[in-house]
Amino acid sequence: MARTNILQSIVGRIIFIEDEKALVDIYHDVFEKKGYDFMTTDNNIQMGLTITEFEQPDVVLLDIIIPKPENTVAEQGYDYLKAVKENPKTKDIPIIVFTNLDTPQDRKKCREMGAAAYLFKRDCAPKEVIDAVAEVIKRDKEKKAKSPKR
Amino acid sequence: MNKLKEKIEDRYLNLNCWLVKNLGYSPYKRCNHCRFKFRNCLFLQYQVISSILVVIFLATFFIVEGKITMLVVSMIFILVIVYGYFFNRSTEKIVEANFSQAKARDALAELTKNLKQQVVEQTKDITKKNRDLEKNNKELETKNQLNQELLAMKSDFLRVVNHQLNTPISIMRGYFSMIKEGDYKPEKALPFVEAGLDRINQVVADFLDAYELEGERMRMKPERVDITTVVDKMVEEKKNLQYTKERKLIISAEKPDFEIPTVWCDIKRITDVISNLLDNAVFYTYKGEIVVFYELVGDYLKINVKDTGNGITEEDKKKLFQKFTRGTGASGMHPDGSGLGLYIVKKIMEGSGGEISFASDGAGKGTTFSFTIPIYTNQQAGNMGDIVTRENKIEIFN
Repeated sequence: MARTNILQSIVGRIIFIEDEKALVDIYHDVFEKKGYDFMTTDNNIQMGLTITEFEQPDVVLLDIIIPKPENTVAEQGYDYLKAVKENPKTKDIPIIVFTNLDTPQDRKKCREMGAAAYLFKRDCAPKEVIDAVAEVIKRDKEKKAKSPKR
Repeated sequence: MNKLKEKIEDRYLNLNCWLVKNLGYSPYKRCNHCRFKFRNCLFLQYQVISSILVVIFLATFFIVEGKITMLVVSMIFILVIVYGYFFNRSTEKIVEANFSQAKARDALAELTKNLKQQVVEQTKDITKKNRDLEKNNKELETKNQLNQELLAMKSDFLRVVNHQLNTPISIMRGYFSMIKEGDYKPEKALPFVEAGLDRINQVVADFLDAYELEGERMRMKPERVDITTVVDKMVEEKKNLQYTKERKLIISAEKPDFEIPTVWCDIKRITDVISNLLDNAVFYTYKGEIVVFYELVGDYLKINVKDTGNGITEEDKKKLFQKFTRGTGASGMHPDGSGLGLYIVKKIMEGSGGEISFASDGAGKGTTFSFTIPIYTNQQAGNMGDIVTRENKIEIFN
């Protein structure tokens, strides 16, 4: 788990669930520069869930195809999404699906499972990802302001 | 008919038959089983003979007088009775033997009949099973064929992957290693790396389009498009191709004598179509020129790409729009092709409500590819219903 501790004002707190180290490194730099508190996990989904519950991030950037630790290809992202949405402590955290899957079925599935947005990884430049993340956080805050917690 | 026959035979049957009397066996059946025909029936003969004798005895009893004659007649009468008794006994035995024989024969016949029935049933069963087997066999055959097709496709796929994906990778790797060693300034390599990435991206997109949309219509995002700008841009772009320069090809777009209307299509997709057709024209033309010209066909704008290249053979015409197929001698003229271009072009045309066609007089005589696009009308913008839209790369759900 990589964690950036920034003392200056934080734009947002984000967890990136992704097993591809190179991609994590790129986005770590990108988000750090924009002033985000950036956390990540590897392919251990259970750990990802624990951290999500503990840290209560503003948004989660979620890859779908995450191989299991025993190196079998699996769509662990869906397991994570399901578990997060089932847990009452984490179900309000917006989740942005960031994947290379691009079939209408996948989009539909993500929407139905309660994802906040869908980004097609191949075509998205880092800048566009950041914009989308900012947009999702903005919308989420507006939504929560409208219906304040008891 | 059968009933009538039974009735007629009934009249000639011996109703006093021993079998009938003693075993309740129906006369008709009895006569069928009895070795003796009705005419030779021993019981009948005995009864007939004895009744005649009784009549004769009674007659003689009244006619003949005298004690001795009376005695003789009585003796004869008693003899007849005794003879008849024994005759009856012996025939009973014969008939009984006959009957058991008949019974056995009956049982045997029944058995054979049953057997026959069983055999027939089993044969039916077997033929049915056979038919099922044949069906299964046929299914297996088609599956086998499919498998073989898949295998062929796999080898095509590998070949294309090898060439199309590995080439840009090796180019980029080359630049990177040069940069690493300090022989090359990163800024100088950037355009090449970007071009390589674009190429890989294009190949992957092509593959996904070709496989994912198997049998489906391609997703479209139509809009009002000024097609001349697209065509002119592509024509300019293709003038810079290596082949165009090497072969000194002339590429031009003809100005028609009518005003070219705006059309209704997915601009990215239609650019792909024009680019693909121009690419093909450039790749398969050794010398001469390539001309794009327009025609109006009803509500459609027809765009033609004419070249003076090596044409299309009759054989190639059949499999032109199939995926992974390339024309005869294509790899000699242009080794980079994936064999997916025209397949995708056809898919795009199917999705955008146009048609693609081609004309070639044969090998070496040039080719003209034509496709139609619907001309823009005001209604189309409001009528997006049946056009499948292409998803955005970023989609934020509400």
